[in-house]
Amino acid sequence: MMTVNSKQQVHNQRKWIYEEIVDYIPPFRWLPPTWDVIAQLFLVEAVGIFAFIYFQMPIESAILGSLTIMYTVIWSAGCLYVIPSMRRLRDPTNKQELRVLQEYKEDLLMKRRYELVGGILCFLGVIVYTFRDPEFLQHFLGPGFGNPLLFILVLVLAWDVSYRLGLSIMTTLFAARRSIALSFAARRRRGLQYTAYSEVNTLKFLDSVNLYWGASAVLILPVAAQSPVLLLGLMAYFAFIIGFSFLSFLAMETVPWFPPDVESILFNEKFAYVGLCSAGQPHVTPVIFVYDGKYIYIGISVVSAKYRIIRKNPKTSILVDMRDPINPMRNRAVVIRGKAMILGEVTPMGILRMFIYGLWMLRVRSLFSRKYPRYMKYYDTKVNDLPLAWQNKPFISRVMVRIEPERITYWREARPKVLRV
Amino acid sequence: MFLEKQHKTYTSKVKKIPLEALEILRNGSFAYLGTVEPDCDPHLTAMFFLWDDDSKSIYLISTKTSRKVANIRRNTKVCVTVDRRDQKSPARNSGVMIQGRAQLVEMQIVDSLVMVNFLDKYMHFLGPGYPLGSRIAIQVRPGTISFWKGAKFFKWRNSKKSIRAGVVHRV
Repeated sequence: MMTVNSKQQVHNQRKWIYEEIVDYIPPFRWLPPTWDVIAQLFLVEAVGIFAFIYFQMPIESAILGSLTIMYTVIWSAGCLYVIPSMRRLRDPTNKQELRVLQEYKEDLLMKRRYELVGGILCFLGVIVYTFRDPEFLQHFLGPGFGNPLLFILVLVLAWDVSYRLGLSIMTTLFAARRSIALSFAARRRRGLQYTAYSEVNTLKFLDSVNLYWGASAVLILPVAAQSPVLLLGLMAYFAFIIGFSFLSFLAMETVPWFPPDVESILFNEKFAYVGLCSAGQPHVTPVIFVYDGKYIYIGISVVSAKYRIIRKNPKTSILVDMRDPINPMRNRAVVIRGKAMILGEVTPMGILRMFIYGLWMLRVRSLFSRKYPRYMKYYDTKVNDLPLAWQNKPFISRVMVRIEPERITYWREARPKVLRV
Repeated sequence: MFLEKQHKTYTSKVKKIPLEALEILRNGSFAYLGTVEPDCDPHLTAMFFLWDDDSKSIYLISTKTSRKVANIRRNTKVCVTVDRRDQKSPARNSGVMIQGRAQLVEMQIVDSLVMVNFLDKYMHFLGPGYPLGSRIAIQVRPGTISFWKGAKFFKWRNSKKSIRAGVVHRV
C-alpha cells in the first residue's frame, strides 16, 4: 500500500528519509510494511550477532545492542503505520485552522532540515561524548575496539538512534505548537467552520503515538545507564517529550467539537427527538436534553420504553431542530448519532459508573435546572400529584443517559446556504 | 424498600384513536420519521407530512435517493412522531407516536386528493419550483398509535393484524 501511494503522489509528497529508504532500497521495497519492519530487525540483528561472535564482545553488549536495535524497529513500526494516516487528514473548513494544520504537515513531512536537525544534534552529542570518554565504548566493544568496520557499525547504530530520538523531539515540538495554535484558531470559528472532530481525534491519536515513540526510548535506558552523562541526556529527553505531549493534550481538549452554528442549536433549543431501535422497530420520542460541550445528556424515566431499549441496544440518534416561526423551509436541524450510556442506575455496573462520573452527573443536573427552570420547578411543586415514574427523583425513577456523538449531520432545509457572518 | 408507591404508568388502551391525537396529526406541521439502518441503527429525520383520514395513514414525501427511502426498502418498520411542545410545563406537552409499516408509492399513482391536500398544507413554503420528478411518497400505515398528554398515555392498536404482522397489501 505504501509503494502504491508513493508512486501516485511522489511528485507532491516528500517522505521521511526512513520511509524513502523503505520505498527504494531493494529488500524493503518489495515487501509490505509489516515485513519491512521484520526484515529490518533480522538484517541488523544478523549483522550485530556476526560482529558479536567475530570480535568476541562481552555478552552484555549483545543484549544492550539488541535492545538498541529493538528501539529502532519499534519506532519504525510506528512510523510506517501512523504517517499514512496523517497524510489522509481531511482539511478543516475554517481557514485559520486549515493554515495551522497545513503548516504542521509541511513542517513535519516536507522540510528535511527540521527532520534532520534534532537527529544531528543528538548524534553530535553522542559522538563528542564518546571521543572524550572512549572507556564507555571500550567496555562494550571488548577486543574489537579500534577495528574500522566495527566502528562504522557502531556509528550507524548511533545515527539510527539519534535520528529517531531527534525526530521524536521535533514531532513532539510540532504537535505542541499545532495544538496550541489550533485551539486558539478553533475558538474563533464562525458559522459552520470547523475541524471535523474525527480529525481532532486523529490528531489526538497521533499525539498519543508521539508519546509512544518517545516512550519506546525506554529500551535504550539500560545502554544509557552505563554512563551518567548519557543517562542525564535521556532523562532530559523524556522530560521534554512527556511535558510537551501533556501540553499538547491540554490544548486539544479545549478545541470545541462542533461548529458554532451547531453548538448554538444544541445550547439553545429545548427539545430533542431521540430515535432508538429494538428488534428492527424504530422508536422516536421527544425528550429534554442538555449539551455540555462534548456529550448530550437526556433524562429518562426507568419505566419508559427508552430505558428498556437503550439497555438492549445503545445505538441512538438524536435530532435537535430550530424551527423558523415564519418559514419552515428555513428550519435548521442537527442529527447526532452515537452510543448511549446509562448513568445513575442501581445495578453493579451503574454504581461503578456513579463513582466514575458522579461529579459530572451533578454538573449535568445543574445544567438541567439552569436550562429548564420551569420544568424543574414543576417537578418540585407537583411531586405529590405525579405518578412515581414521572417524579424527578434520581436513581429511583429517573436515570441520565449520556450520548457520545459519533456522526453528526447538519442541515438547513431546502438548500445549504453559505454562512459568512 | 425505597418505594412507597408502585411505579404506575397510566397507559390506557383505547378502541378508537383519541380525538386529540387526530387533531395533532391534522394540524402538526413536522413529523419525525425514524427508520432503521442495517444492524438496528436508528436513523432520524424531520419531514413534512400529511395525515389522511380516509386511509388512516400518514403520507410523507422524500427524494428517491435519500437515506430513509433506502432504509425503508430494506426494512419497512418505521416510527413517526408528531408532538406539540410546551416550554413552560411538561404537563402540557402532548404528542403522537405511530409505529407501523411504510410503503413506498410512486408519485404518479399517489391518490391525487392526498397530493392536493399535501401541497395545500405546505403551499406557502414549497414554492412553485417544487420538483416532483425525483420524489417518492412514503405511506405509513399505523400498527400502534401512542398518544400522550402530560403524564397520561393512551395506546391504540390497529385491528388489522396484517399490518402488525408486516404484510402490506401492495397497490
